[in-house]
Amino acid sequence: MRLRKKLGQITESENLTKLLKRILDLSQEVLESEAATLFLVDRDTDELVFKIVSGPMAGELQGKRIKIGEGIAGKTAREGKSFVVNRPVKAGYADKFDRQTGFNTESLLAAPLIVDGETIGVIEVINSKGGDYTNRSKEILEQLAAQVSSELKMALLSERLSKSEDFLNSVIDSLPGGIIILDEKGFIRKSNSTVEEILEKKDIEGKRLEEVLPYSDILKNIKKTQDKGSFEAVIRKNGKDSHFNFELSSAKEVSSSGIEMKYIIIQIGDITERIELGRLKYLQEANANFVSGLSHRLRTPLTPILGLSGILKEQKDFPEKYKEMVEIIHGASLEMKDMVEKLLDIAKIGSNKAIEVNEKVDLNLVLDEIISGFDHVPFEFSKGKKKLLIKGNYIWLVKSLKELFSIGLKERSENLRVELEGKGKYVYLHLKGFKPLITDFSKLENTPIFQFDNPLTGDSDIKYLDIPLIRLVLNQHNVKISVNEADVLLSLRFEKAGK
Amino acid sequence: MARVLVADDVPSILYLFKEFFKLKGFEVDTAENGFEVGKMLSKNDYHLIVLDIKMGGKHGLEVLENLIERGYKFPVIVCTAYGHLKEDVDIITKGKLDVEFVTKPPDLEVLWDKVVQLLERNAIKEEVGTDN
Repeated sequence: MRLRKKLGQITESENLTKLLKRILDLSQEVLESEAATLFLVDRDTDELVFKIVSGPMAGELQGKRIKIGEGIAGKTAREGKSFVVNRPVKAGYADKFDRQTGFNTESLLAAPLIVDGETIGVIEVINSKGGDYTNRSKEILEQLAAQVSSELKMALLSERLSKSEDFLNSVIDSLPGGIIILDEKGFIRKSNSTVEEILEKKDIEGKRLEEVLPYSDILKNIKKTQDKGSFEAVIRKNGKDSHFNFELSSAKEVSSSGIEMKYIIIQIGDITERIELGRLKYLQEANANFVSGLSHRLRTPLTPILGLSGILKEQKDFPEKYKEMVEIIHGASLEMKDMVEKLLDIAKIGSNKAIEVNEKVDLNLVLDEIISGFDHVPFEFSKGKKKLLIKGNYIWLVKSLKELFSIGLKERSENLRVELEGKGKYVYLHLKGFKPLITDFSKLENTPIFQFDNPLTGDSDIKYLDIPLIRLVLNQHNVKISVNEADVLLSLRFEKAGK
Repeated sequence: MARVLVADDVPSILYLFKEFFKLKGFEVDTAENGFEVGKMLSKNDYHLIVLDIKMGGKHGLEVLENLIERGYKFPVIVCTAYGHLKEDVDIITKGKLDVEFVTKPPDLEVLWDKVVQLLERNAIKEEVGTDN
């Protein structure tokens, strides 16, 4: 059905119409006929359309329709074979048509137009001027019908090619990065607008790659990478370095004559932002590590200064003058200790680690929000005054929580804990007595969503749980989570800082 | 007299703890690294060990593992500049050794409180704690 539709569109093409008209005129001339018609099948309505008409009725019949099966043309279309009918009225054909139009149909010859085994139309000649249509006439018309079919097939193929070219262009243009398709000789066969923006060059198709990408290191890398792999490179534009990722792959095309063509596809992605962010993050981390390291290193020399000055200032037999000096040293070292602690907090902010604070947190509110985070998950919850029970699939829960909590949060207090308890198929997560902490779970930013099996059906029904949501809720309430790595599978703790 | 072994790779810190514990009535031995701890333990019995974690030579966590392996039961005060190591210490010693954790620089009064608690918990009633 799609084939006929396409043909309908193709024959709108002026050149093809002219060509078909010429063949039709030729048929009329060779078969010495008064009129000729080329019909195309419209399968949507199950009709034959008078597509091209020549002869005295041309003006009236053009675009008209008849039912498939109706008349000789209709019969030809339905049965897919040629018919010769001399004196059709006597045979029960054309009478109605003749009465409606005033035309006098004396003889008819019709042959089907067949493309890929499918009847897509009919060619018909009417009223032989040299006596009846014969079997020889039928053979001639069948040859001409084959010619028409072949032209229509070619037109269809060309249409398809042109459409697939358009499709390819639109796909390439819609891709996020730049695309260059190179042929085996190194000429750019296709590209998209992003490439033109990246390279700041227009009309690059047909040019050699080195003309549009005049960077020897990149060209060398492309040659080295061949048709598989990727590399990163810097292109300096407007005095500024831009970073790009080049990803190479290949494609093959076999032409109708059987010749194999190989193409290299180069995808170019702008990764400048990613590189800069990475660098910034690296610098931030390096800075935080330095400050943290400094804080720890300062603690060592501070220990004897503070300790010994503390001992000295308490000595009863120590001369008063020196006692005063030692008290000053001790006071100054206490100040230093305070500064070292603050330094460590700054480092923790920089590296997104937890800092201890002393604020109250509404445990019930936290629990409510955690539960709401699990809303879309088929898990069972029960909430006690200071306890949340989540009953769910053991494997999923362990997996998710292991990932969630094995981020290296190690501070621990003695009193408060959350326990994850494995009982057969289920795991129970008990949250007992929250106390406050600020936590930044920034390392979880890249942990998107976890998968789990449906514990109710036991099927591998993949659902998703938004762990970052839980993280956000906990974070909002300054709750810190920590885990004992030694028994990570069975216990984890939500803890507070300090005493 | 109670006997304490102090292990730290910084001489000035060893000096501090030596003076501090002497003033508190202890007999004090020192070790500059984890290996020396082993040697000292083979020679003497101790009521308490004060242990740094990040030491050159043998790491403090290894020393704790060795103590457990050898079946020593005496209390330990871990004194380190790295507060986050408490979790590691807990993992290793949980239920096996009685350990108190203090970060450097320690408040000596707090340190002393912990010493007393440890000795009491472990029923060590030697003559210590003579304040100056």
